Amino acid sequence: MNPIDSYSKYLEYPEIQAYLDETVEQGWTDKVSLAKNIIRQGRDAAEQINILGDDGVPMAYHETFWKSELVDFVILQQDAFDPIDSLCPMERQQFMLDLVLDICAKEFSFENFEECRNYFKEMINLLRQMNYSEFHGDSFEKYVKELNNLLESNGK
Amino acid sequence: MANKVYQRVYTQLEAITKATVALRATGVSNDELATVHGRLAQVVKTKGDTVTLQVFSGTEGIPTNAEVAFLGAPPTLKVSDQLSGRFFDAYGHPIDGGPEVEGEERQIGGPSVNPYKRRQPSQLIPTGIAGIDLNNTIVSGQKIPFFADPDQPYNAVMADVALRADVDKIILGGMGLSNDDYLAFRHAFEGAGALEKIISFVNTTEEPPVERLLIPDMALTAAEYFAVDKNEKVLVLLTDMTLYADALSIVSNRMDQIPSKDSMPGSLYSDLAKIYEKAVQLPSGGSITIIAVTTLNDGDITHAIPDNTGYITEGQLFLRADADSGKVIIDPFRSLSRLKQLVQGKQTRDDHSQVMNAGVRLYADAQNAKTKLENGFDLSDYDHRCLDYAKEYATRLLSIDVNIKIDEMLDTAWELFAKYFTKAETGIKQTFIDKYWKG
Repeated sequence: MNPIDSYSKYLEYPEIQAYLDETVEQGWTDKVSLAKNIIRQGRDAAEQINILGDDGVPMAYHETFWKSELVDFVILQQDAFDPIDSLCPMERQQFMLDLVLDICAKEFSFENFEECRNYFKEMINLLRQMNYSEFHGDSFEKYVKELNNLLESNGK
Repeated sequence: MANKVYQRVYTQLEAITKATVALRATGVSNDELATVHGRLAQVVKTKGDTVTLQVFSGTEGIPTNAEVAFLGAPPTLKVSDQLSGRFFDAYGHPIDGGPEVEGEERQIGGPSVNPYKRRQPSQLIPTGIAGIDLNNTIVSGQKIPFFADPDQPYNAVMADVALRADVDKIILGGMGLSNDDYLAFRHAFEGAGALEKIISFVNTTEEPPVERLLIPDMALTAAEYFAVDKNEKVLVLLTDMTLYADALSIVSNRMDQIPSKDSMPGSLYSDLAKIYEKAVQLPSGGSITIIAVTTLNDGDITHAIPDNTGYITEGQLFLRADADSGKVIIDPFRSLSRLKQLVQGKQTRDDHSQVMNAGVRLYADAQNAKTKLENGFDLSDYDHRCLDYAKEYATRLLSIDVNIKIDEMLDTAWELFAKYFTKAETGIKQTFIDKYWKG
């Protein structure tokens, strides 16, 4: 499903927003639009990278692009044939979206775009493995720990 | 087809077109066969007393006072085990010099199996071609076409698939086959020593195009005999459905029906569905699987024939000549078997679906790298690895000349992942990485 072209009008309804504020958390729809905007920014950055080349754009463009890839791979992509990932309750969605948005809010510093790519690939893999693990189970917590180590090594 | 005694013979035609004749007659039923001036014909339309007949071999030379006799029954096929290993024409007459087949006479083109009496397809049909088995697994009871350009070796691929598939009977419905293709099929089947499980109904380009309208119904009537009566797994190959649809349009357009899109008859969807919906998995274990070929005009999938076909069938397989590997490959982006998840990881190894997804995702990354290269940009280390991977992936897995078991396909994929990528770059579930990662 195209995450930009697809939309639900309901997220703009005050009744729905009030309901989600109450049942999920205060300001949930704002978080959803925030994530959507990250995807949008990533698409723009990818366009610039395609036009100007990897070396032709500032590092920030690469970072923006990979943050959108992070949302895409971890939040939007779901393995419908995996027994754990195919069932993702609201509590878990909330936890993962918070986690991903926190990461996207950080600023990173990279020497070059290859380093940026490798760093995010590593991070995406850890978060995907979390999606495949039982929520708050042993291996899930193990990946959380590895993720935190990875974040401490760079993110501010 | 000699006339019977006391049979009513009509001698006044009211209209003649290239493929049909019309006359006034009573007591005639739809789909009934007739002879017109000694040629076989079939009732395609009745309106009041006016009956329209399609003359299979064309109406050239038929006079307005031609003798028309109705035979009282639609086309039939005699079914029995004697069908095995034989070659027939569109009327079900042997063309291999052998004797006529003895057996129960059945009307062709009847209704398909009641959906309520069917089972969900669940048996894997391995073909040895990784582009199919690994990425687009085919399941018994499925209906799936090859979308191919006319210059691609689709008939050779079909013959390979047929001979490798673990089925009891293979039924070939050849419509508008060139004599070369007909002989190629014949040699392939004879050479494999598998002739006794193959039955062929063939209409070549030498024969009148309208005759080929009978081919799918003949092939499927034989298929239903073996699947329903004998509980056998039957694979039906139909090539080429575009020529079949062209024959449909010849008849309908000459009957002053208003043509639909691309000058096809308005009933094209129903005409095709009537054929494809014969694919079935029966509770008794018998099944009919249909693999068809739809040739494309300049790759145009919006044409009425592939478009309607796509709505009926359960996916499609695209052949593509890959310039990088120099092979004809099954295009992983445009091909899809809609039933693959019914067997992947269930009848195949547990890592199947993840390996498939990772393999195609990395192949897609290679396409991005290729675009970059074409646009004149420097490639990163990852881009180079993707391109090398893509070449080997296309050669060793996507190419149609591959013939290996599914476990070997999975092992080959794991080997390529380890050769070109890190574990994190594949994004595969850790338990599978622990179990299968090579190196």
